[in-house]
Amino acid sequence: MPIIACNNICKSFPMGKERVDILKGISLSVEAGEFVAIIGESGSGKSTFLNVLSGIMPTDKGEMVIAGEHLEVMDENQLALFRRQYLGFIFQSYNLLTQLSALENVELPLIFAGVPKQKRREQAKRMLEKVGLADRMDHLPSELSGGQQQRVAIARALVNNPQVILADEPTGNLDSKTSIEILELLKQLNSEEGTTFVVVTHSHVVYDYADRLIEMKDGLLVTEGKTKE
Amino acid sequence: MVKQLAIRNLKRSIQDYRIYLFTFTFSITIVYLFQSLVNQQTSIALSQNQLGLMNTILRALEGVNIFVVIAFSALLAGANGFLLKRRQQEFAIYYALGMKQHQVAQLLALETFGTGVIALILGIILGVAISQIMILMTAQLFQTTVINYQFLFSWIAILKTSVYFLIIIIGIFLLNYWQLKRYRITSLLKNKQKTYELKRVLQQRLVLEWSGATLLILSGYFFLQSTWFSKYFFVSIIVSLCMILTCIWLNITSVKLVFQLLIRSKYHYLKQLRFVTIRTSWQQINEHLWSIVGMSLLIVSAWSILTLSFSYRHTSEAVIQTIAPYDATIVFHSYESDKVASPVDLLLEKGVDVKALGDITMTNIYTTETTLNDLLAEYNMANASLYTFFDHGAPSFLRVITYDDYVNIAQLLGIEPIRTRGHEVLFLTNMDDMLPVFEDYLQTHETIDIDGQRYGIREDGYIKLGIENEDFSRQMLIAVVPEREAKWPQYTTVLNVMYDQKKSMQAEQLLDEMYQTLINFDEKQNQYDTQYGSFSVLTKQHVSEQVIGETALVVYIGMYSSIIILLACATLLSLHQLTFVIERKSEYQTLLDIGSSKKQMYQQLKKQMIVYFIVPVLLAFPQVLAILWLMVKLALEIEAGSTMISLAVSTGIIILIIGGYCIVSIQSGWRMFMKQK
Repeated sequence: MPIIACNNICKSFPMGKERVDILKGISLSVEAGEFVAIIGESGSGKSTFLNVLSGIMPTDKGEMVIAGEHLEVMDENQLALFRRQYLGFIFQSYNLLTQLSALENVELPLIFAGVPKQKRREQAKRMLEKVGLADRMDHLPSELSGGQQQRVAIARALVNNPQVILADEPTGNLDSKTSIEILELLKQLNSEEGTTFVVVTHSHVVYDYADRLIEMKDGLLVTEGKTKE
Repeated sequence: MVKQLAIRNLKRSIQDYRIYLFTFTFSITIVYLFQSLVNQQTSIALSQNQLGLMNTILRALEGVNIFVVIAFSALLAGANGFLLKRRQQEFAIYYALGMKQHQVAQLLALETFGTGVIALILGIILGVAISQIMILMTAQLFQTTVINYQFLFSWIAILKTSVYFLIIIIGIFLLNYWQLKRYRITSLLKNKQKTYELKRVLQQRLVLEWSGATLLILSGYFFLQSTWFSKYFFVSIIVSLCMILTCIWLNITSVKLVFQLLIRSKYHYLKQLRFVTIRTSWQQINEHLWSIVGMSLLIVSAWSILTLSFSYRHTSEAVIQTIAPYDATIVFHSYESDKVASPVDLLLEKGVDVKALGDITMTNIYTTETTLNDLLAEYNMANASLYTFFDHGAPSFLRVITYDDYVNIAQLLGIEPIRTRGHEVLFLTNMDDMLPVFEDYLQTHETIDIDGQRYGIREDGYIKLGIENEDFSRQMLIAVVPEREAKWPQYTTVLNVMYDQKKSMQAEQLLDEMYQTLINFDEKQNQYDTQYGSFSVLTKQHVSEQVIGETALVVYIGMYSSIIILLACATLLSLHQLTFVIERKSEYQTLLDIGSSKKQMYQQLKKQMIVYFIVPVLLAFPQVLAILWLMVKLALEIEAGSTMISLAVSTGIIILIIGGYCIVSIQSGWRMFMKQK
C-alpha cells in the first residue's frame, strides 16, 4: 500500500474575475521509504502541489490519502494534528525562528505533539547530534552558516519521526558544495530511518540522490522515471 | 494614475492600520471636546464665581492646546514616519518603474490628507456626540446640576480643531516629503530583509548594574529621610531627580534580569510554548529598548498627572471644612492700631447688620515681633513642606488672640474650649503639617518666649482650629494668651458668623454682594470704605466654589494632557506590534506548517502582545510611586490617603486605555496574519 496516494488533484486560484487552474488533475503514488524529486520550471505548480500535499492548502477536487488518512475530508484542526503526527517540512529559506536557539527550534514540533519537556529536550539533542550539530545546539540561527541552518531545519523536520518529509527547494539558498552535503544527509536519513522524502527542486544535483524523478509542466505530471535509469 | 494609486493605498493602510486612524480620530474628538467646553456654560447652573473659574479653565486650556498640538504632531509624525519606513521598498519600486519624485510626493500628500480628512470628519462627529454626555461630567466637577439642556454644537470648536489638525497634517506631509527626498533608490532596495539578532547580555554585568542601581536608590532614600533633606533643599531636589533617573536604570536592568532568570528557570521556561513567548518578547524589547523607556517615561508622567489631579480634588474637598469652618468671615483691617471704632457699628452704617445674620463672634488679632522662625526653626525638620514658609519670603510673625475670644470661637463652633491656668498659653493652627512640628517643640519645651515674656504651655495645648475663613490653609500658628497679657498692636478684627438657619439664603446673598463689590474693585467699592479701615469678606460658599473650581481646572487639564499622552504611547506600542506581525509572518506561518494549531498560534500572538504592552507599564509603576511619595512629602495640598484612592482610579484609566489598545492590536494582528496567510 503506497504511503502517498493522490488521485485527480485539482487546484485553481482567483485572478481578477476569472480563476486560473494551477493543478489540473494530478495523480501520484509514492511508496514508503522512497526518495522522490519533483522537478519543473517556475510556475509549473510544484510548490502548490507540495502545499496541497501537506494539507496547508485545500484541494478543489480529488482524493488525497497519506498514511491511510484522507486529507480532503479533514478540518483545519484535524489537519494540524495530522501534520504533527505524519509530516515534516524543510523549506528553502530554512524558516527557523531567529530568536530561538538551534535546540529550541528543533523542540517546537515536539511541543505541539505534547511530548513532556525532559523527553523532548533529549530527543531534540539526539536529532541535532545526528545532523552533525552537537556543538552548535545553543547557537542562534544568526550565528550559524546557511548549511548549518538547513541542518537545524532538517533536524526539526525529523524530530518527531514523521513518515513523510516534504522539502521545498531545500538547497535553493546554498552553494553547490553545501548543497551536496545537505542532500547526502537527506539521503542518509532516508536510508537509515526509512522516511519517505518528497523534494521539490530546480537543482540538477538532486537527480543523483532521488529514487524517482517526476516532472511537472503546466499543472500536470508529464514524465516519470527512475534517476538511475 | 496617482489618484487611483493613492485611493488604493489609502484603503489598504486603513485596513492594515486601523489603530492609526482610530487614534487620529480619537485625538480630534478629544481636542473638539475640550474646545467645546465654552458651550456648556449655558446649560449648567453656575454661580458668578464659578463662571469666572470656568473662564479661567478655558483660558488655561488654550495654553494646554499648544502642548496638545505639539504632542499630537510628535505622535502622528512618529507613527507616520514608522509607517513610511515600512514602505521604503514600495517607494523604490515606484522610482524603479519611472515615477518622478514629485509624483511620489503627490501620492503621499493625497494619502496623508485623505487619512486626515477621514479622521477629521469621524473625530468631529464622535466629539459632538460625546460632548452631549460630557456636560454631565462638567456639572459633577462643579458640583452643580444641568439646567436648560440643549444640543451642543460648536462651529468655533470645529473651526479651531480643524485648523489645529490641518497644521499637523501639513507638518506631517512636509516631514514625510523631507524623508522621501533623503531616500535613494539603491538604499531603498537594499533594505529588503531585516535580520533579527538577539542581544545577549552578560549576566554578571546585569547583576552588578542592578545591585548598583538598587544601592544608589537606597542611599538616595536614606538621604531624603535624613535631616539633610531639609537643610540642603536644592541638593535634595537634585538627589530626587537622580533617584528618578536611577529608578529608570533599575527598571531596565530589572526587566533584563527577569528575562534572564526566566530563561534560566527551566521549569517555567520549558513549559509548553512559553520559551517562544519569552524569547520573542525579550528580542522585541531589546530591539525597541529606548522606545520602550521613552514610552514608560510618558506613561509615568500621564499616570502621575492623573493621580495627582484626582488626589488634589479629594484633598481639596476634604480641606474645605478646615479652612472655612464658619458660614462667613468678615475681616476689618484697621489703619491704626488703636481701636477707634467697632467694625459691627461701621458695617451697620454701610447697611449691613451683622448681628441680624446669625450668631457672631468678634476676635481681635494682635501681632507680635516674634517670628515663627525664631521659635520653631530647629523643629521644622520633621516636615519639609513647611520649610519654605519658615525660611524664605517675608518673615511670619506669631499672631495672638485672647483666651476670651478663643472661648467665643469654640462656642460658636459648638466645641468644648480647653481651659488654661494663670500664665498658660494655647496654640491654634489650621495646618495639618504644623501639628507634628509643634509636637516636636513640646518634647523639649514646657514654656515659650514671646517678645521677651515667658509663658507656660498648656499640656496638649495645641489645637487644629482656624480663627477665620481662608481659601488656603495659612494659619500656621496662633497663640491664645490670657486677656490681660494682650498688649501688642492690633490692626485686625475678625467677625465670624454662623447663619441663622431661617435667614441663611438672605445672609449669603447679602454677603455675596459685598464680596463681589470688594473683589471687583469697581465704582461701588467705596460703598464699604471707612475712614478707620477696610473690610474683606469670605463665606464658606465662596471658599467651596473656589476650591471646587480650582480642582475642576486641575482635573480637566490633568485628564486632557494625560489621555493624550496615553493615546500616543498606546498607538506606538500597537504600531510596533502590528509591524512585527507583518515582518514576522513567515515565522508564524512556519509554526503552523510544523504542526501548531490555530488556537496555539493565536495564544502565542496574544501572550507576546500582552507582554509587550505590559512591560512599559510595569517599568513606569515604581517611578510613579516614587513621584507620588515625593509629592506627598513636599506638597502641602496632597494627602497620602486620597493619593492611594486616586492612584487606584488612575491605574484603572491606564489599564482601560493601554489594555483597550492591546486587545484591539491582538485582534488586528491576528486578522492581518490570517489575511496574509
